[in-house]
Amino acid sequence: MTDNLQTAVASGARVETGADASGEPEGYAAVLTHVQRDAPERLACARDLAQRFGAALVGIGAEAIPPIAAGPATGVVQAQWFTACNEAAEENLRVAREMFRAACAGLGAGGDWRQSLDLPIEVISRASRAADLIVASAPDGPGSGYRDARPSDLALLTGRPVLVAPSREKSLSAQRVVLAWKDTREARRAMADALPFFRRAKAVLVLEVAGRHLEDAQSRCADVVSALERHGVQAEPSAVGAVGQTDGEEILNQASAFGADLIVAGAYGHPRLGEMIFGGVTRTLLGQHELFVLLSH
Amino acid sequence: MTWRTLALDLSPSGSSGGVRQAAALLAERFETAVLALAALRPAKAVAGDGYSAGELMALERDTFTEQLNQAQAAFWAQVAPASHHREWRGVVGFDPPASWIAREARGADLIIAAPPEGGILKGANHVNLADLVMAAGRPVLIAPSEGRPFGLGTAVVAWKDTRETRRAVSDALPLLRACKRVVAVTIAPRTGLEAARGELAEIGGWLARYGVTSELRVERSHRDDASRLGMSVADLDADVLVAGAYGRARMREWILGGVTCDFLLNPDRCVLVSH
Repeated sequence: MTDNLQTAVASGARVETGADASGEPEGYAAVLTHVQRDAPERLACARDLAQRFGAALVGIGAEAIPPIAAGPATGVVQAQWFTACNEAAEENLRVAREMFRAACAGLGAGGDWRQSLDLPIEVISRASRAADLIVASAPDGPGSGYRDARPSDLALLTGRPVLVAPSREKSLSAQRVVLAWKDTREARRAMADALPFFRRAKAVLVLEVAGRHLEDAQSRCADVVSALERHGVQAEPSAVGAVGQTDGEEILNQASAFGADLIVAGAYGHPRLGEMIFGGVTRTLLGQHELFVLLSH
Repeated sequence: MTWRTLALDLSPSGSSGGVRQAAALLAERFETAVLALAALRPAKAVAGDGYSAGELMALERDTFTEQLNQAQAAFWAQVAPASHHREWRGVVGFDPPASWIAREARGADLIIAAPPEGGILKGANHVNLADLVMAAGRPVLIAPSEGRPFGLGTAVVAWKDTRETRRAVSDALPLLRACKRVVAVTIAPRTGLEAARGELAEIGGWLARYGVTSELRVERSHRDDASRLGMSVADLDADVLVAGAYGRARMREWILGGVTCDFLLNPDRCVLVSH
């Protein structure tokens, strides 16, 4: 794995040098995204955020060659098939790199390109050590682990906050942001990870969908609001009881009533037998196509 | 980003002098609010007839209240004088103390805790530090009362490319920016030295984006990586060690920067860990 990365770094082109060391970045110093030829809007979103935060843009080109299914194919056919796949992947990466180069033009803090013929989730996880935020979006259709990195996997495995763009082409204003609060490790992570967004927002809602003890939830939200205030963020607390629907749906309703286009939330889940098992709210947030979601684990 | 709220675990289970010292220093340096927390859990089942059990519980409650009062007095004496927000929350309850601390520290940027006496994984009635680190979702600065006092001189980052270490290093950014000297150390086998150097250079580059100048050190792995790391830390005369942490309480094992670190059972200096 490490060897692959080394090759990737060695062959990666440094488009421009990094940020000006004297200017302290206001939040995120490097925004990372998986660049794919069929997802130009994801790259545009990442570029826009890098510009906004004065961050460097880290582009990842990654695609793995699927193993050949067992069958009657002879060695020669297999070799030809492998060569064809390899060429197609190389061509995809070349296009992605061109897209990235174009996106970096005029970007203050510059960009870094990394590419590797390896599983995207692996390449991105390794590269995330030098990035603060990952911009992701779900592939159209079912997607494939050889070509695509699922937003949920990125959120659970990289240790970085993942901004999930709705699959439709939408741009993020992040003027009004909802923090979906719950007294858990993941939500506490999300709150800290999202500070740069909160600081730039016009309005922040700290929302807890509570069960029976609404007063407890109110005092928890108030705690979070005062902590945010010390970071220069004006937020308002809101504890609501879920009315006959799931917590996830209630969060979505409240967010749209608040006029938010970004929900910050903890990502709940764990890998089991190679599959990710998600909590209900996380599933709901990942399943909708209207709002941006910032997930932390 | 900077630190604005510190949460202290001042549960009277061990010696909290190191916590108060580190808190006073960081609160002044970062101009933070300080939230002091203390939790004690009564013994659950008391054998015997109801009468004596009740008497025992009352006795225990009195002892606990007295202990909390003392902890609170020490806090106000050492950490309190400041223009910023100060708050004390103490509780005697049946909740596991570690989860109570983690929940109450919900708004904190950093939690400071003491290693409990008798080892880091001990303490059923007190705060279990491994549980706290795992549950907090915030960095935890473990500050022993004995050994080297906390300072902002040299910080050593124990690098290992894991999710926890990535977390720890970004969580520690305010600290790293405040320290005079930052050294990132990684331990690699002979065949992986080149790769480790490349990895570390990336980290150095990323830290530089935040204005942190770091020295990079690749140590060759020998039989015992833990003592190798311990030696580097002592050799660099570190004020604080930064590492990703994975605690396995049941296995009585504490994995730090990718190596099982028994020396953390009795830390001789401050360690900032994240999970």
